[in-house]
Amino acid sequence: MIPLGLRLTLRGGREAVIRLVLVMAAVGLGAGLLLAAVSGINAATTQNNASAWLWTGNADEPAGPAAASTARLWWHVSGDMFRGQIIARVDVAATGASSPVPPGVPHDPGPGQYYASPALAALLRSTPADELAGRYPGHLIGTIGDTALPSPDSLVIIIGHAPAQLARTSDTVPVTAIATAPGNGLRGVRNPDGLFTDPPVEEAPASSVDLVLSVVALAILVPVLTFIATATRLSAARREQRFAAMRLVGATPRQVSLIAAVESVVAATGGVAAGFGIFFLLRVPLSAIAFTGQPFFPTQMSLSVPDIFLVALGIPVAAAVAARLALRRVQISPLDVARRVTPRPPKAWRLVPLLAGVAELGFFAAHGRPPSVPGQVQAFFPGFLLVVIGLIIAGPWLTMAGARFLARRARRPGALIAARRLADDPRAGFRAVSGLVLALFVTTVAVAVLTTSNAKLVLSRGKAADANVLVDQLEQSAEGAAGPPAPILPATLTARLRGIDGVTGVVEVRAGTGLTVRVFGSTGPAGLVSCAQLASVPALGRCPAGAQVAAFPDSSFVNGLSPILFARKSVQDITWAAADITAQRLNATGLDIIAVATNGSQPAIERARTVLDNAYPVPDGPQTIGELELIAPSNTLTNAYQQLADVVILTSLAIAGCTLATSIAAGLADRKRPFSMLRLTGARLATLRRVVVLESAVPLIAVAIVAIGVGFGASAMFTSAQMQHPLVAPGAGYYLITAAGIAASLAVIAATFPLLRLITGPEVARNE
Amino acid sequence: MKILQTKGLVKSFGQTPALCGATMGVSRGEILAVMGPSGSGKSTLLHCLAGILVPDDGEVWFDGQRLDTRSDERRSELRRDRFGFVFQSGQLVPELTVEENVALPLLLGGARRAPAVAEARKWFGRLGLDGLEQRRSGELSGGQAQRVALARGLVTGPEVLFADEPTGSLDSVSGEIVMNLLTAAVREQGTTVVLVTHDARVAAYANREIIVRDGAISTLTGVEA
Amino acid sequence: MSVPLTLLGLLEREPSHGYDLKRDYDTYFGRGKPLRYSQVYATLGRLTRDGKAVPGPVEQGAGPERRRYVITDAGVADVEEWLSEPAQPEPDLQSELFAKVVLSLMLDRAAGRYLDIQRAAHLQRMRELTDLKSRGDPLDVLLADLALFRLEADLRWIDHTAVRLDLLAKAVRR
Repeated sequence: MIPLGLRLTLRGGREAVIRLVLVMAAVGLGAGLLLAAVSGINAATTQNNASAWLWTGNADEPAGPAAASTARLWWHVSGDMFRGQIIARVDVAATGASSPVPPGVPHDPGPGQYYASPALAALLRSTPADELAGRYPGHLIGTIGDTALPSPDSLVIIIGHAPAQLARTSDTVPVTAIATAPGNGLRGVRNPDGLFTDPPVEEAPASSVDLVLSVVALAILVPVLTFIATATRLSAARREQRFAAMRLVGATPRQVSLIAAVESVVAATGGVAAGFGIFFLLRVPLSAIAFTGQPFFPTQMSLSVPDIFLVALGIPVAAAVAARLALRRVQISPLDVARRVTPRPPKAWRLVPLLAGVAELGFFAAHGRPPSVPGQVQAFFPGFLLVVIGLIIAGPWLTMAGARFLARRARRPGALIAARRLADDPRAGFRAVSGLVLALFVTTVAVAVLTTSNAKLVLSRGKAADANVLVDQLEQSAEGAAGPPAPILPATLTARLRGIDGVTGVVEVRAGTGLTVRVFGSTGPAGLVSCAQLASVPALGRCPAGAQVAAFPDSSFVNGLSPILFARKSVQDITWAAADITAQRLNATGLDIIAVATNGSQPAIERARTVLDNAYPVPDGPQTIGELELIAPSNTLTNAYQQLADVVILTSLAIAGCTLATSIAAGLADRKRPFSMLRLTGARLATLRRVVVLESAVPLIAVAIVAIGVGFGASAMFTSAQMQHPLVAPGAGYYLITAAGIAASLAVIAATFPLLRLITGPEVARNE
Repeated sequence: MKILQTKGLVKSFGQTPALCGATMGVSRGEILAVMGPSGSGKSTLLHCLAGILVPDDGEVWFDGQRLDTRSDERRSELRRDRFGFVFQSGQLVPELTVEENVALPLLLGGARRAPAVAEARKWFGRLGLDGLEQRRSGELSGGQAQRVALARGLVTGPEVLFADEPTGSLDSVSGEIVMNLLTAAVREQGTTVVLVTHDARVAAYANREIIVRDGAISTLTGVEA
Repeated sequence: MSVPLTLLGLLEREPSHGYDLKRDYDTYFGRGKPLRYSQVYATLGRLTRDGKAVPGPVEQGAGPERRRYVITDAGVADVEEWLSEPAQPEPDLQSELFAKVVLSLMLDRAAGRYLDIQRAAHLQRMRELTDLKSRGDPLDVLLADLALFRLEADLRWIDHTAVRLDLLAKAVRR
């Protein structure tokens, strides 16, 4: 029986081969995307683990296994920035030959030596020394290996020092083993790069990613499954006829379903093999996209052996099961039913899931989102899921409604034929365009949400001047307790800063006065600024007229952060209260914050940063306010989502286009004779073309309107509930993509016209 | 005892009644022509006799045993091993070669490919199909296709051959060839034939005819039902 | 084509003059080939001699021999027998088939049943001819085929007519 099944599958002639190839392609796409997704998850984990060693010395995290006889390694981690990118700086000093060695380097660097990641090494070579290399004592002796780097773009540097010198530096810890597990960086204090994260007031990225990835998985999975289903239905009539002939001659239903299963397994196996090929092709381009905020190494996108077995065996098995299930529903009768049985029309209840999803989102829009993040996921995920599923379920009904509308208004025969056929079998008509509809919905939601999210940030931080102010907080220690006495800013340093081309002003915030100040609704400890200096940096506010010194929030205002860094609102328009302290006494108090205003040019910022880094090596280097925005988790997350959305949109549009083409071709093949007859009896080719166009265009437009409308509605409710911000209309890019998607679909339809001319030629109508 | 017997067969397709109490029988070895106007239910009667359809009411007996109460699997096996079929069209599997098509009932019965095809080949000469072994059904003329179907119908040495308009789509000469071959072959094997046709010259090859009208067998006094 | 039996059948419908008989025969059965008066009266004479019909009293009126003929019981029996039995299937019996059907309708007999009987007879003859073909030489086969095609044509007419009997009955009965 199985050899018979194989023979039937492989020797069916040109039509069957085309079908087999298409199904294999569809399965291959699905398998390839699945593998890419799985490897992406693996890559994210690997990437996360690759930065484990940077957690060494973090007091809350246990170090790796230690041996009693290991010499200590002095360890100091800090963070720095260069042109908006984070540099992880590790200063080490080995006390003996058995000191632990960080991964990726052959041995601990000695004093005056450093290892840098390849990306950083390239930057060191290409930028002027006073912008970058000047921060690091010594010279480059080698590059850090890939195993120690989370990303090809990672900027990491390991600098060697003399133990005695490094031990004296604050925040240095002795370690006897390198950490092997990454810690949880979201405690609101410090991540291993040494830079502060925002206090967790926004959505925690981890759970949001689940939400988004689930919707994305659905948005890709449904078009792929639809494509597979459409391809499988090709020449279904002929296959049914063949099965009927076999049943007549005495094949049992079991034998028939076995043969169908063989067909499916062959197609699925070929498809899976193609899928692996597609995966390897996609790997390198996909790895360059920064889903997690940083690109992957292609080797990180790996598949474990269980992954491979699961996909390689699971898909053919699933195909066999699906084939058996499908045939169970359709009892193949030995009599090839020549009479077409009109399927029952879709009922109006199909609208219910869609309306339920919209209602659910509306509920949360009206009542506000749940307080906890998991609660938010539980609230919004079902809503979006219902909407997506609801679109798929409601599609046939909407198609039928559109078809009936068209049938009433149809004057020309082409429109009438198209409308009747659609109203007759709306499920088939919708299936062809369901992928496109989903793609449009996902595009709309993604673009609307992201645009609003961006707008929200921009509105809060619309001042360019802020972006160019470099802020260095000096009063920092790991636990936020008071550190060593605050230094005085030497005049030479001030002069050097001012001397950098592009620096427009320097402000020093002095600390420790016992004063408080109220800003943005919170009250906290204040430091002092000289009004003369403040006048040179208008971005930080102004003094009252005639004052010499003003009270200014210091670096420990809230959770160890100055409001100018965390509050995400501009202080430009604030007039600070005057403080009753003379300028001379001011110069005697300790220094807390140095703010350097620049004209925004990269060399100016980097040079100023280099100067500050060398003067005050603190765990978190100076950042401009703009950079802080850039690296905020919600911002990097937004960028990552943007990338993801782009990939999803393009992929689902492409798959949807393939589905549409396949569906139209199948429809044409099924109607070869009737269409030929029509042509012979005088119908023009143009009329038939109109039929084909309308059959595809009607469901497309009917459901697209609903999908886009629902997309905007759902996004509006989501943004107002979750992001507490009204929906912002997307920019031109969205309209372009949507129009391009619809235009591409119409182009696909038009591309089948030559096929129409070919297959309705008069020779087809000849009696066989 | 008759080899095939029906009692009061009733069968409807949705709202459309096809058989309303058809009672008839077929004697072993005879060729019975089933005639009647189109829509009279003669094909449905044949399908019920062959176990392709299960009637809504009534009984079908084959070789002394009830046929209509058997499971789909059993009836399929019966069709495979003890019945043969020649229908008007669309009965060959396009993906298989002619010899594989003829051997199909044997293959479905579990025979290995080589012996099944060898058995199939025995019919080629008799039915004038030499040289067509490796062709596909789409490459055959109408008459050739029907002879292939006939070979397939006879390859298992069936007890009953069911033919539904076997020459319906053939011209009179090809049709005559097919009917001559059919009657010669069944006469040799003693095969019973149930032949549905509206063509009187085809029915003339039978030993006896029954007329189906409005779903029942119409009787004439003096003519056995 | 049996003219005597046809005329008898018409007589059974109602007693008629020879003139009326000829007129009715020509109308229903003689399309294109009318009967001659002499043939009518000769047939009537023979029928009277054989006891199938009797002439009624001579009636007053213009013209010769205006007598109504009446059918006898023997004549009725003859008509009955003729209508309920099939004509011998031969290539050229269209007119006889036609006459039998029309008369059956006129006389309210079971025309459909007659058609069934005729069909069975035709099929039996076709069976014999087909059997002959398998054994005969090519000339026999040619002749047999000729007969077969003609008989088939008759059968097609029989099937065709069987469906329209009601319509025909209305047209035929007055």
